[in-house]
Amino acid sequence: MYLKTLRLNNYRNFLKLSINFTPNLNIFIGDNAQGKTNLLEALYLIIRGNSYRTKNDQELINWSNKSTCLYGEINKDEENFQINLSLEKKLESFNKFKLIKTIKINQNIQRKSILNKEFKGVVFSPEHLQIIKGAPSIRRKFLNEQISQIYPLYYRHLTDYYRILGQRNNILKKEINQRGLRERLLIWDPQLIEKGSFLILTRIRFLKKINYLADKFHQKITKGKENLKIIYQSNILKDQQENISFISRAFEDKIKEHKEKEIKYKISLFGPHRDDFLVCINEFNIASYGSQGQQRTSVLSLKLAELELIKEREGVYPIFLLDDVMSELDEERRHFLLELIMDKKVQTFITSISLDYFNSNIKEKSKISKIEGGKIFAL
Amino acid sequence: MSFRYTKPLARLIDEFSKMPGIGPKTAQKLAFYILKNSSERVASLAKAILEAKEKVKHCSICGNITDQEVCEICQNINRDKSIICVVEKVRDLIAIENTGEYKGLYHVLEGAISPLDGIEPENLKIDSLLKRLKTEKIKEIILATNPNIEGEVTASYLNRLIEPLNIKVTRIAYGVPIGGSLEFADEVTLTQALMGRQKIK
Repeated sequence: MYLKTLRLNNYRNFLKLSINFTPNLNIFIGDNAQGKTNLLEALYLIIRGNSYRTKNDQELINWSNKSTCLYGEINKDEENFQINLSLEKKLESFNKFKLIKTIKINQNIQRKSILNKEFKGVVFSPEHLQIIKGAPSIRRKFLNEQISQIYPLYYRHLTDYYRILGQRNNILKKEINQRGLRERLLIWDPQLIEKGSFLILTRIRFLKKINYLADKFHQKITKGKENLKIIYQSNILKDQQENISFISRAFEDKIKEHKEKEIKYKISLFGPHRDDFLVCINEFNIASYGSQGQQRTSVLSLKLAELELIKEREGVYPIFLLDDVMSELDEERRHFLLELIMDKKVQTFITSISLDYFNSNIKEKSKISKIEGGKIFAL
Repeated sequence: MSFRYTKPLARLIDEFSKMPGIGPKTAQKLAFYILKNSSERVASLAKAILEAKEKVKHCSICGNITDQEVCEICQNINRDKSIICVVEKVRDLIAIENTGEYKGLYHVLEGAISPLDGIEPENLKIDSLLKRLKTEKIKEIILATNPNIEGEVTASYLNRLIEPLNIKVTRIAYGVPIGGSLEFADEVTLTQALMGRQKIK
């Protein structure tokens, strides 16, 4: 799958733009605040129908305008798709605007979900370092999003689990006597354990899979110097078990054992809603011991693994968007990363401040454009 | 300033808009419809509302709606009195009754366990169900609570209470809608349907 053409109209700092891409590597060079990331965001909008940077679509419209249009052509399995996305501010009452978003595939108006089903994209941006550095909730979100895409049943169990958790916490917060409280919890515990154990098992299996892929990429980028290990951290299990009845028994025991504590703190303390995962390089947890470059490389490896998972499921590679990835990697890692991408035949878009990061072989095979003040020039 | 209705009309609109599924616009439409009608018709509507409220009661045995002490289903001697189908709401009872297939009795719980909505087991008609199980000669209980979290929890809670009484407890099956096409069924329902597959008789 690859993007052939992009045209923008009154989008962010681009008033008018038209560009063709190669199915391989596309490089955008430019100084700070010229529009490199905006351009990547536009590509993502064409593929997915929403931005990965903001929830407020209004930001996408150029300051001095009321509407924006994006147009892209995607080739998937030798078939051409034309995608139009337009955003328009409509006056509702005298000072209130309503934003209207229209998505068209081959001139027919479609819902975003149709677009999402057909086209995939993987983004790496500096914010994704939070997967390593950030709070456990960010890692859980990453896991939940990734697994839900592959496994719809997981999403259902997840929403069920959180519903049960809400009910259970509500009971714990109530002011009633110990016996009544215990009896009421007992009604919810079997369901909590059933759904929770399923979530834990699925997460462990998924991490195992993504670990295998990410480690392979990580070793390639670091020339075999570093190996990557992802470890699921459950507050129920001591080690990564893959037996559902074992997990549910451990879950049950844990809740039984610590009921006093839960009643004291008035909240559910155990289960997948408190779980986390560690990323280790050569057995060291990189959230605490890794360098910036190592953290960045590991997230990249995870993203490359995500690419493979999508390819495995959909049969074609998604489009790969790399925002400002080069600056913190050393020359060797840059080299191996670019080689890896070129080998895979994944259409990739990279933004960079300088062209020095790319060697002559890569420059020859890729399309390089310079971005300056919302305008684009071929180099 | 927006337009203000005279007080009696404003009150009528306000009352309508409290009803389920009715927003301000529909409430307004209904109120004007009432005004347009003759006094006799409006009086008969008001009478119907009052009468329904006064005369319709819950059956003292199963909780179904009725205008007598005991509902028609509980009174009917042709029905199988050894089997009880447990439902959350009267509307579920009506849905099952409309199939014409079920010939047993019912028991309406009036909800499902959901602490977030303030519904605990003691708020449901569970005591009266257990009393029935002990006094009537029941052979089977069908748990037909909704296939969502609260319904499932209620079903497993009831199962635990009924188990010691040596009565067969069954749960309605999950699966794909009949007459539909598989491609439109959601993944979760399909998975459940696959898990609950049966040998062709």
